[in-house]
Amino acid sequence: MLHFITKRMATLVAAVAVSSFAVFLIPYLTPGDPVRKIIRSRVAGDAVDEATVQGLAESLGLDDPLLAQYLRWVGDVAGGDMGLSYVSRTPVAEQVLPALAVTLSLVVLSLGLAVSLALPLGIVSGLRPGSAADKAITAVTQALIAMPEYWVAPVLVLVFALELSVLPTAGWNDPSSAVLPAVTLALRPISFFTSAVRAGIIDSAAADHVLASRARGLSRAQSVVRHVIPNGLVPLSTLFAVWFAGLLGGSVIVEVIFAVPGMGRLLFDAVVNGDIPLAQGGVVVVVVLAVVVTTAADLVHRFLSPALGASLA
Amino acid sequence: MRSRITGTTVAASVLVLIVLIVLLAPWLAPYPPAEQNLTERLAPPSAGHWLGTDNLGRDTLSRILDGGRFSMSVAALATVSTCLLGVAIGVLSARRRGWVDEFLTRTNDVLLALPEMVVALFVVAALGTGFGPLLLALTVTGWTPFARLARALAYDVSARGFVEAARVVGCRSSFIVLRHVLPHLAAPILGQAALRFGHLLISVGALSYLGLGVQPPQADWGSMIASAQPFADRAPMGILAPGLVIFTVALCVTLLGQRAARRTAPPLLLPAGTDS
Amino acid sequence: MTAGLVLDGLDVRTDSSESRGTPLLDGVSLSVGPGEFVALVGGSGSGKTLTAMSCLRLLPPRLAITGGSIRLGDLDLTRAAEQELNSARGGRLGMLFQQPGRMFNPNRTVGHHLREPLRLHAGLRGVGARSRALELLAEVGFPDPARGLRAYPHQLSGGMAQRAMTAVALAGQPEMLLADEPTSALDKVLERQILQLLDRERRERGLGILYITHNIASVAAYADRVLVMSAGSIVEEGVTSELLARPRNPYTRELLTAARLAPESRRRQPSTEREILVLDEVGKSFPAPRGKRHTALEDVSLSLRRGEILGILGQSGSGKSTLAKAVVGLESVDTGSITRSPDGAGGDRITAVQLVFQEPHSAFDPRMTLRTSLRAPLHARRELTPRERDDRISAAMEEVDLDESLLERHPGQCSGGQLQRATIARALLLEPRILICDEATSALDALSQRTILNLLLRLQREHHLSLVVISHDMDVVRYMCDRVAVILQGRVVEVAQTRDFFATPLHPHSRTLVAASIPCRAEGLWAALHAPGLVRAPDGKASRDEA
Repeated sequence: MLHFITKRMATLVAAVAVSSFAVFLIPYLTPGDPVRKIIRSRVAGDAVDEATVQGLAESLGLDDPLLAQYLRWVGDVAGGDMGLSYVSRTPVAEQVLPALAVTLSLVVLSLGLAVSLALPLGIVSGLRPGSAADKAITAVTQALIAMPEYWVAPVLVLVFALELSVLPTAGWNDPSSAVLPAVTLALRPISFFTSAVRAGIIDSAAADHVLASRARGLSRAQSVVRHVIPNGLVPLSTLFAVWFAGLLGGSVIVEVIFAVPGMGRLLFDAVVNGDIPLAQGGVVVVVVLAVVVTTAADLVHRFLSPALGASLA
Repeated sequence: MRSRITGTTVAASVLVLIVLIVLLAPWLAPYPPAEQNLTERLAPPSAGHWLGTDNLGRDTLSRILDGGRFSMSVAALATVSTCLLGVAIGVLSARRRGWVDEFLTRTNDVLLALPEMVVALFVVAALGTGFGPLLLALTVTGWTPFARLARALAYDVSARGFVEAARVVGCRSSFIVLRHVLPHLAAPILGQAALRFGHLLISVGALSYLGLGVQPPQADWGSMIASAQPFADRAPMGILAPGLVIFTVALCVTLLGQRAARRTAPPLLLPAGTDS
Repeated sequence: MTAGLVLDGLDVRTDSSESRGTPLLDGVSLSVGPGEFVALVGGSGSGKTLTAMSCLRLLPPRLAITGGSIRLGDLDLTRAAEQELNSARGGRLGMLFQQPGRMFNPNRTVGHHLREPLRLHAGLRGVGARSRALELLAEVGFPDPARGLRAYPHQLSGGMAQRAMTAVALAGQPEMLLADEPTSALDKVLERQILQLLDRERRERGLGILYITHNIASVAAYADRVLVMSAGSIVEEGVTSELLARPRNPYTRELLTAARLAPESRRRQPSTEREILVLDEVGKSFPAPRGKRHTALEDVSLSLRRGEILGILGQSGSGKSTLAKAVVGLESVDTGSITRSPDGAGGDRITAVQLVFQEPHSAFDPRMTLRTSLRAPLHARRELTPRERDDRISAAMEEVDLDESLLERHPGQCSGGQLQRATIARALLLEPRILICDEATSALDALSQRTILNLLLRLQREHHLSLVVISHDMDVVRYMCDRVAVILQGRVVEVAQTRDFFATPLHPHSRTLVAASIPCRAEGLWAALHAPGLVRAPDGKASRDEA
């Protein structure tokens, strides 16, 4: 286990290093001169002459080797200094952290909803595959995968906000404004989680050791509760983490539609406005969190399923 | 059993029908897709405009038929390119093992942790909007599920006795990959490809919805929803119709993909005891 | 009211709703008294396991008991309510399964598995349950019971897993134990330990045991009575010594024949021909968890002469298969060298050494016909026309006594025996000089095993092949080999002429192996069973395999 943790941590560090380097390169890869971009972040228009540009490049160390610049940038970011936003002229950190809080609550809300629906549905479905209930549940989950969020969201708004007027159309003010975004965001995870639970339960119910547990005198119900369900749910831990990580920055559509001031909205605005420092800061935070979450999930999975370690080592 | 076969048949026929209609759009569409008719703005469905018109008086049906070509061809090309790339990487990983495998698998892990939409946003930001950048944006992260599946399956096959047997009788690695590994991958990969096509179709729509896909006046299913949204209360068909088409296509390919993925088991071995 | 387990005219059919369903068990009657060790033997698919699962009333979904009765003392198991059944299962009626590794929930510790029957059947919880669990693990031979409780199933070796399973089965203090091939996944040494353990429970507690097996040797050693099952019916029944010495039923005779590989049937002079394969201080290790390395082979030096049959004996995990793979070039070696044909004759081409695998079903791509698979070895021979290739394939099939029509079949449509012969045919296409047989017959039933061994001996004679027979089965090695090498934890610990080896094994490990191959309770009987004249000549063509 210890060996596994060390190995996984090394991967984590490597992943963060590689992806942060990619983020660091963004201003160099996007069209235009990096120095001009920095100037644009401080001065509006073309009021700066060539000599000042040259001077700035030198004083910022932009002529240094790329690696040295990268290390300096990493140091700054780690210290909380992600630079100034081109657009709002405020420190990036001050925009990213509140957005992160909003996105986190949205993601927790919708994944919580997804899990609490997927568990009963998947278990019912998986315990009696082929039954009428299973067929209905499978049909619904398949339909949910195929539903684009940018279609569901306007339709929900049309029905609940415009026609029925029971929920706000957009914004992030009171708890009721979280309902539609959370539901929209939950649709596809519900579908994926339900299929994963169903498949896990079917697999685990077919295992020989379940028969052996019946031969030890457990009733069908006892054997289902003690062996089939716990084993069947193990794969969900990984899937949950993948979705959690993915939604940290991937709720772009929902946040844009419902005007939720979260990370998705922030990244979208940053990209659209060419606000490179803001985009860099946002992506670094999202990626680091995502890598941490998936690593943690791996550890949890390993803990829930100890045999896995032996077979993969 | 019977209902599943009919379900598959229905899904396949609907899909073929939609693809045909989209391909034949220039001849089938009742109006030119960009033709504006400001006197007939936001018209409800009628005999003249089966699905009504948008805020510029353009015929919704004609725009759906026309927009399908962009969405479907980007999604189809992205599926093919991610599939080829992913299978190549996965098989390479499984056959070479060692550090090559370690490196490719870790890369895959990192990409899995990167939100797909964020990566796509950046590619589009760096290279601009349009067909090419969109394709690239979807390919950068899109190959990973194929690589995972192909690697797992190729590992599996390579550990089977018949691959060792082939090596013992002197078959070269290329022969083994072509004759033993790839045929075993075909069905599950095909199933995965169908599922991914559905997913990519939705993603293309998402990027277009955000204004990062096609540029006006060209239509795309995603961008149509975006432009119809402000008028949703007056002309809901502008949102409902294109969304329903995406939904239908995605649902059909998902059904077909799951069907293909289910049929992956090798021919049944005789049960124990029939040996004598 | 009789004590013990009594089955009376038990019928099991597919699909209970219609009496037309296929009968799987047909009028099975048997009884096992307290303290009795009864063996139920028969080929695979004869209905042995089904009989056990019927007693537990845990039949697969579409099967049902359609007639007869099963009684355990005063309890009618065929009529009992589900609740009564639950308290009988694992309580009065214990069950030991074939593959212990798969019968544990991989995510739960051994202790968890022990606590279930202790709570359900002995009413023990908490500290009481723990101390009883420790006691049970000590009883079945866990050196450190406290550690055993915490162990996860994957951390146990096959032998320890079956011991742990035995402890779980005994936890409910059963009066009757159904043991379904409990040792067939284990080697001889472990088999003996487990059976002795069960026999001790029988003696000390009066445990009745229904021992289901296809292994006649262990039956001779432990069983009081034997029941022979074929196609869902009991065809013969009797006291062990009687039945083994004078089988009346033809099927029983066939089974006994198959079990008997005449020991020391080959008395050949030691080969004096030139060495064709030389292993010089070969070493190989694999990465193991926690960054350590697992040594699979260490300083292995062996040689094989032309026309010689060398046996390599070892338990599972001893490094036998790594050795086989290294010799055919599937695995590289870390240290030392492997030289094929040191004299240069026949070249050092890798295909001069061919391998026959353990698992014939997996040795062929299930998607290809046998013909396609058999074409692969000839792929590189560009000078051959398609016609010549097919001729060679036909000739090879003929050599292994297989009908050419099999070539158009897929592996799933062939029996294990047929496929194993096809594997040999495929190897022969390359005109090998050395054939490595890695547990080539352990996955086959006794009759096919015998046919394959005789086929190998014939081919060895006709082609003057050198054979390396890798096995954990003492009988196979004794039957086939001129010389024996014993391998233990990757090292060769003894090399001797076969006859000398079995007469006087020198290394302590060799002695354990040889001792385990001779049943303890009935050595005289075993000798009688092996006496000449009881069975037909060993070289008869396999009739069953062609069927």
